[in-house]
Amino acid sequence: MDSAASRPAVVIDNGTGYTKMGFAGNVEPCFIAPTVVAVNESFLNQNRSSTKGNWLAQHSAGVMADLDFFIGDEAIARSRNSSTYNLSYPIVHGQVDNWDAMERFWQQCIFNYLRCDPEDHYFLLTESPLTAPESREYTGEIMFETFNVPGLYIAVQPVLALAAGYTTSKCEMTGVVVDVGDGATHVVPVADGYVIGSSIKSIPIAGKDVTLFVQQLMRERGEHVPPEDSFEVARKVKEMYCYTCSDIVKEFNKHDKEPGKYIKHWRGIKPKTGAPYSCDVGYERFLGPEIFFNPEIYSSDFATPLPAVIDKCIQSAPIDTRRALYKNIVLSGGSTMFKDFNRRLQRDVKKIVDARVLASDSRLDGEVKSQPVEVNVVSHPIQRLVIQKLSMRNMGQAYAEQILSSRGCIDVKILLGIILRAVADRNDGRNGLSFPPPMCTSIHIWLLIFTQLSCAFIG
Amino acid sequence: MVYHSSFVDDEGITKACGCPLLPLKSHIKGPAPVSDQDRTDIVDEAITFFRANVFFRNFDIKSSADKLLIYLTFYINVALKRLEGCRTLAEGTKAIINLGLEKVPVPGESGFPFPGLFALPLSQPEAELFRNYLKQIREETSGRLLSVAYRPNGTPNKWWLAFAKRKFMNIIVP
Repeated sequence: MDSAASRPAVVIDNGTGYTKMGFAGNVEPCFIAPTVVAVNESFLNQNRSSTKGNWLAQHSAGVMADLDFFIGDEAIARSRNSSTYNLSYPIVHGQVDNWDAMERFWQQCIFNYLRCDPEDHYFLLTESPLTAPESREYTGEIMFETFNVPGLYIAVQPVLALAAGYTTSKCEMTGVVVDVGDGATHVVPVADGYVIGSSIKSIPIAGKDVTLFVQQLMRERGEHVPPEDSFEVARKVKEMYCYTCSDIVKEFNKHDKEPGKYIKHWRGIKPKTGAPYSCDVGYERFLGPEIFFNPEIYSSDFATPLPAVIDKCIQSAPIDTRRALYKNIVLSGGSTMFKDFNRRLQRDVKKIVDARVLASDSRLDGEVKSQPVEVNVVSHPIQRLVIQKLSMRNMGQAYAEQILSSRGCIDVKILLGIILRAVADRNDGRNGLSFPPPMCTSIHIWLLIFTQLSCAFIG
Repeated sequence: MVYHSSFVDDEGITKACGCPLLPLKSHIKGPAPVSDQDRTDIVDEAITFFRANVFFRNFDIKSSADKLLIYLTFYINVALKRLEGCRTLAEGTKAIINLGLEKVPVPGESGFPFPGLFALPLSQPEAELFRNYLKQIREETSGRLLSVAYRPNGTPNKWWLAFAKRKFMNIIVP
């Protein structure tokens, strides 16, 4: 078990859109793969009527089906080429939906991509804020039982993002993390490293919605994109050409005046015939990211712009933390990578804050002058992979402590197993205890130990 | 948020149905006062703001000129829908002329797209005045719209005609 401490830990950050995985100590993740699993469904649809002879064939077919799957870019390529593979997305809106697929995904990550032995490395996984504890339990169960990892830490993504934002030795652990991913957007205030759970706000607009909006605009204009490819093309267009503007009407005028400078061309190849095609990319370049600041233009059931949500979130945090939170708004997540996203966000949040300060000053008739609130939106060049960057560099010490405590969980787990078996043997199952799932929080373990010990002594 | 009209000051302008009859840079005869040629008038504003405002479903009104802006934005949406099938400038002009010949409803009559927006006309002459103003402003808007919706060589400009599929304030265009 000590060999695990000397080897670099494995870091896997599972998001709705992409999974970033690698080893601690590196600057960048080793692999960034889409979070998708392609499973071979053809074996499952075989004729169910089983005679004795058929059973063996079906069994081996079932075994083959279990082993025959792909993840990430390979999965997308295979499902496009042949119809035997069905794509499934195990993570929806930041939460794991399909545990079976998730287990297979991790299996391929560890054995095929990272090519390491899970028994030799500590693991650092991440989760969305506001994840149910059951999800953490399932993750722990899969990691400890299926992969037999020596130690595990499941971190909340925003706290890691905050810590990654700094290169100096003193980390500023108070701030608001705006995590705009592919499936969900969360605004999480963190004070001194602790997430203020009651103030977490999430909005249903994320990277996928930007892609859908771009796709809708291109379709309305009648661009000649093959329909089966249109989502992928919209996604690539979004990643290559989209930017944040300061004012929509001015952008429209700029596009009219200099079309050559602003209108880009996308060249692609039709998948069925192989013929090349090209289409224009124009207004969606700036209208895409605009949906964060004016959600009305995209969906009718959500209308609060992102700067207003950030402001509401900070206002719902304890009053003594608010100035510090405004000063340190950290962006993380792939969908914050649009050019000038941080400047526009800073400008809009500052506008809301200044209006409020002005209103309160005028109510007091200028007797009390309040200090202007400083608003700072921090972004740095690697914010898309912020969580990975952090785990790769700074958190070594804190991380090791946490791993040691989860190591304690492992030792306790074995002890617990022994005690429970002893109790069951003695009482012949009179207590009706069910074996509890392995937990990663040491507090829980200690409570269980005490109850079991007391049962053992009383029973 | 939507873009509002800058004509907030409506002193000295005749009003009908609670809406100021703003001056237009128009050569078409009608009840509107004439505006100077270098200033932007409400029609210019409507066309400039159209591509942004058409995305919005809720419009908060800051001044009574905004009501006219809403009406014009809706009218441009209707006109673009008529222009959808027209491949040349000549066909487009014909379609627009047909649109202009149709009956122009005033607030209070059925067929007026925004039933609660304008005040009802108090008298028949006021209704007729408003109807003539609307006819004039519609013709003026159509003319300027055709000059942007079609390229100089007469082919349709897809960047404008794409907005025909948008529904301003979720109103289905008849």
